Amino acid sequence: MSRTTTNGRTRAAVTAKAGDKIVIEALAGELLSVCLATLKTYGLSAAKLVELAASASVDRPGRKSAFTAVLAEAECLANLLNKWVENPNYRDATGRPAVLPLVKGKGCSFAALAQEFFPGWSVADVVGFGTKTRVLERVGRDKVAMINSTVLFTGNASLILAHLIRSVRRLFSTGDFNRRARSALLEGWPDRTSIVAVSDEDFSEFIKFIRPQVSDWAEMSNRWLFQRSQSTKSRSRKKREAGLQIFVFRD
Amino acid sequence: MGRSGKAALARAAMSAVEPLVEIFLELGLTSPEAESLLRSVFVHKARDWLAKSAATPEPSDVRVSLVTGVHRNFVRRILAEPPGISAAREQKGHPASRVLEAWHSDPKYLDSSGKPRDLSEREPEPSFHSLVLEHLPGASPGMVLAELHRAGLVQLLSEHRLRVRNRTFRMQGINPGNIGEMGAQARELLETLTHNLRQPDAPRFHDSTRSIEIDAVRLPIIRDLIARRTGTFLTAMEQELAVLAGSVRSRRAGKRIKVALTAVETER
Repeated sequence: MSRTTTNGRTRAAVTAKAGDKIVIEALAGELLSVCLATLKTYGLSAAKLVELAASASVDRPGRKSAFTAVLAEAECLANLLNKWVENPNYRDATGRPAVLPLVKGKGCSFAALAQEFFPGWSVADVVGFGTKTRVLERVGRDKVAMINSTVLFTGNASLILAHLIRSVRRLFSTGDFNRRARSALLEGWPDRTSIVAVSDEDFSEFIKFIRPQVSDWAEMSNRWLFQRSQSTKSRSRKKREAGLQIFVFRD
Repeated sequence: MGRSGKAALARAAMSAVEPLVEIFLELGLTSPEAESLLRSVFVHKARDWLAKSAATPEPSDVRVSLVTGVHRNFVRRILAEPPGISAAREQKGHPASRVLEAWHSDPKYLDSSGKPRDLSEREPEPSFHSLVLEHLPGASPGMVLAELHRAGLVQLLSEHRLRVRNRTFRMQGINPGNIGEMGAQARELLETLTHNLRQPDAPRFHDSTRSIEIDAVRLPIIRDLIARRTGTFLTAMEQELAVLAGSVRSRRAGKRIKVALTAVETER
């Protein structure tokens, strides 16, 4: 379901009749103001933002991505969880991710996962990181169980900001593809919105209602992509990251 | 009859009642539910007995009340329905239901997708132990676990970890309640199939995936996947239908709608 809203905030000069260039300039200005207003809530002053904007506008090939560095550890943990969830060898008799021994033994172990996705880290440090991010818990002295298959950034400003940047880039990438798609309805990548004005109480109920659905869609997408990427036919091909991102919003 | 006579009678009746209590326990009937059932049967039987012995085809509520010791208002209410457990008693349900409900709704015991998570029996917290202490204070966590396990509602995993199987207290296995439920479900499915044969122009939804062959080793993963995915889907469907039904209030005669999913497994 999709609904386009007009809220009166659009500048009077920008109408459907105006030229493409004028419309795009107005929208670009609005996009920048949305970004600047959000960044101010992270404690950045207007002067600092102007300085950062000037620096960002200069092309610097090879500039290291700050958000990639911030998210690197979370990304490694997400990949570790992915293997734990998706690889049948890491499942128990009931089909769920197994409780794993910390040290390497005959079968699968958490140590093997830690070594693969966190080279150079001690197993204890990986367990500590996983416990802090509430994805795993210790079982007795020498085992660990997965309690969540998603790394949550809730409550951490820098991780959330880095995650936002990545999300915006992905959204831009989808938008960029879709603006080039011509007329065919199924040529564009799916991008859908559902929006209705509701009370605080209804919104809370909505979160409860939709959370399991959102998780299932993400899990379903992940499983499909992961299994395909592991298939022998696809192994030798050139790959680019792809996926699905879903979030609930409130204006 | 004197006090000693009643005591002797009670002792004699105990030997007859005890096996029945065992069956009640097996079926998950609580003492208040069993007492309610006994009272209902007692009142109905008393009316029949009076009708035969006193040659009064329809003994009054007051007369039944005198014989049974049940207040006449209750007698009237009990006799208005067939013998059974009173709705008030039944609604209270099994005390362990509170633990199951909390396991499915208290955020502390849910995973990031909002589903109940596997818990350790005691440590680390949140554990089954802390769940029982919080939501069924006064009950022994060990006893509650034994009862839920006996009813097939909690699965014991390795490493003293536990998985909840159902949100409501209901004894699993072959018992009268479950056989009745099986019959009702079979009837519903057959009704839909029969309707579709008779009225192909206005069919009710009935569809399935194509059969997919899988390695038996992967069965647990597939079963878990089906259970999780369909569980989420059915919950969403129920809530969406409830929202739709709630927004339209009509005095016209309505229809009962239910969506059911069944997985089929056959040997190759």
